[in-house]
Amino acid sequence: MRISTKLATGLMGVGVLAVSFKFGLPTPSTNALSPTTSETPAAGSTPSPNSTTPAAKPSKAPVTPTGGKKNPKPSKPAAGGSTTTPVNPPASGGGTVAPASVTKTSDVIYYRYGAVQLSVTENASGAITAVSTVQAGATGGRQGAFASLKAAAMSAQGSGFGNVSQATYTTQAFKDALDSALAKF
Amino acid sequence: MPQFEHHEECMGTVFTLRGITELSAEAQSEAVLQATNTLHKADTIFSLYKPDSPLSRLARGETSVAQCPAVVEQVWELCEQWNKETDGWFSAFTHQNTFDPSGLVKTWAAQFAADKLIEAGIEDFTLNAGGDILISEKQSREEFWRIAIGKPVSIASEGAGVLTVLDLKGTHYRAVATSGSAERGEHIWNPKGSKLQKAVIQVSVIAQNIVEADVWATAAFAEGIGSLKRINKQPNLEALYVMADGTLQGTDGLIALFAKPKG
Repeated sequence: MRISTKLATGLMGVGVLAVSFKFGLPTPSTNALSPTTSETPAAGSTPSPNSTTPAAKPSKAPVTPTGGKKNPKPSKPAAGGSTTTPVNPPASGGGTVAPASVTKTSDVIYYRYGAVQLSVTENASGAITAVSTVQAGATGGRQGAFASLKAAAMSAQGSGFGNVSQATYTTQAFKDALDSALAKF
Repeated sequence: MPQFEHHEECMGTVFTLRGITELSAEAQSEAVLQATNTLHKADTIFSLYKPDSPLSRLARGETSVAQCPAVVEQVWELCEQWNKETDGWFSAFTHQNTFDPSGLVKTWAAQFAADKLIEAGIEDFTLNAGGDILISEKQSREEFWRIAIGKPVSIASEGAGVLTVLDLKGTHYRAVATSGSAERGEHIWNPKGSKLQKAVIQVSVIAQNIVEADVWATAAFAEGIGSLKRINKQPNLEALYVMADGTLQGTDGLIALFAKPKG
C-alpha cells in the first residue's frame, strides 16, 4: 500500500521552503543548497542530476522542510547567496534605481520518488514574489513530497490548453462566463 | 483540414465538441447532429427535471424498471457495478431511495456521442461534457491533449480561472472529470451518512475513459480525502484534490501529468 504523504502545499509550505532556502538550512537527502543569483526571473540552466555527489541519492525518508538534522550545517557564506545580491547598499543615493529582484535556483533536491529543483524570486526587500520548478521529475510515476505538488501545479499554469475540467456548470453559468470573457476584449 | 466547434445545450449544461475533419461541412454537421441526438435521447429518458421522463415516473413509483426502455436497466446495472467498484461511495440511490443515476448518465451519454462521431468518420476531437473532458485517441492538436483544471469557483464568478494544466499526451489517460461544490452545490450526497464532507471542495480524476473519471470524481467528492488511498490503489487513476484550506493533495502519479512549462 502506498503512503499518501500529506502534502503541505499551501502558501505556508512554500513559505517555509523559501525561508529554509534563504537561510541556507541544509536540505535532507541532498547536499546543501547553493543558490546562484541572476538578475532575470528566468532561472538558469538545469544542472544534470549526475553532477551531485553520491550522497545525493534518493533517500528513503520523505523530505520535510525541517528534517535536515543529519547533514552538517554548511557554512553560512556558502549558503547565503553570492556577493552580487543587491541587498541594502549602505549609502544609497535616494533610491533612484528600481529595486532589482533576485532569482535563486536551488540544487536538485532528491526525495523518495524523484527530484525537484526550485527557483525562488525575491524582490529587494526580501519578499518572495515567485516560486517555480525548474525541474520536477518523478521516478516510477510516483511522487509524494511536500511543496513539489503545488510548485508543479503553479508552474504548469502558463501552458496553453484546449479544455477546462471543472464541476458541472449550468447552462446559465456557461453563458454568463462566456459573456464576461467577451466583455474583457 | 477544417476545424469545427459545436456547443449543445442538454441536461442543464453545455456540451462542446471541437475537432478537425476531412468530411464535407454537410457531413460534419450531420455527424454532430447524430452525436448530439444521443445526448438528447438519454436526457429524455433519464432526466429527473422532466416530469414525464421514464426516470421521473420511476421515482414516483408509477412504473417499474422492466417497463422502462431497456437502457434504464443497463444503466441501473452499470451503477451497481460502479457502486461495488468504489466500495459504495458512488451510489445512484438517494436517501429517499429513488434511483438517480445523474452522476453517470451525462458522461455515459457523452461516450455514446463520441462513438457516434467516430462511426461517422470524425476521429480527431475533444468532447467537453459540461466540464468533464474526453480526448479522442487520434487527437492531433497538442493543446487539446492539455486539459486545464478550473479553480474551485463557479465559471461565472469573478475568481474563475485555471488552477493548473495537465498534459495527457503520451500517457494512457483520455479523460478528466471534476466534482465539487462550486457550481451546483449539494448535488452530490453522502451515500454512507447524512452529512457531506466539507474538507475537500473539489476533486479532479484522470482516467482512461470519461465514465470512469466521472464516477470516481463523484465518489471521491462524496468520500472526501479518504478516497486518496483508494484511488492510489487503482493502477489507472490519478486525482487532484483541492482542500477547503486552499492546499492541494494528489495521488502519487499525478505530478508526472502536469504540463511542462515552455522554455
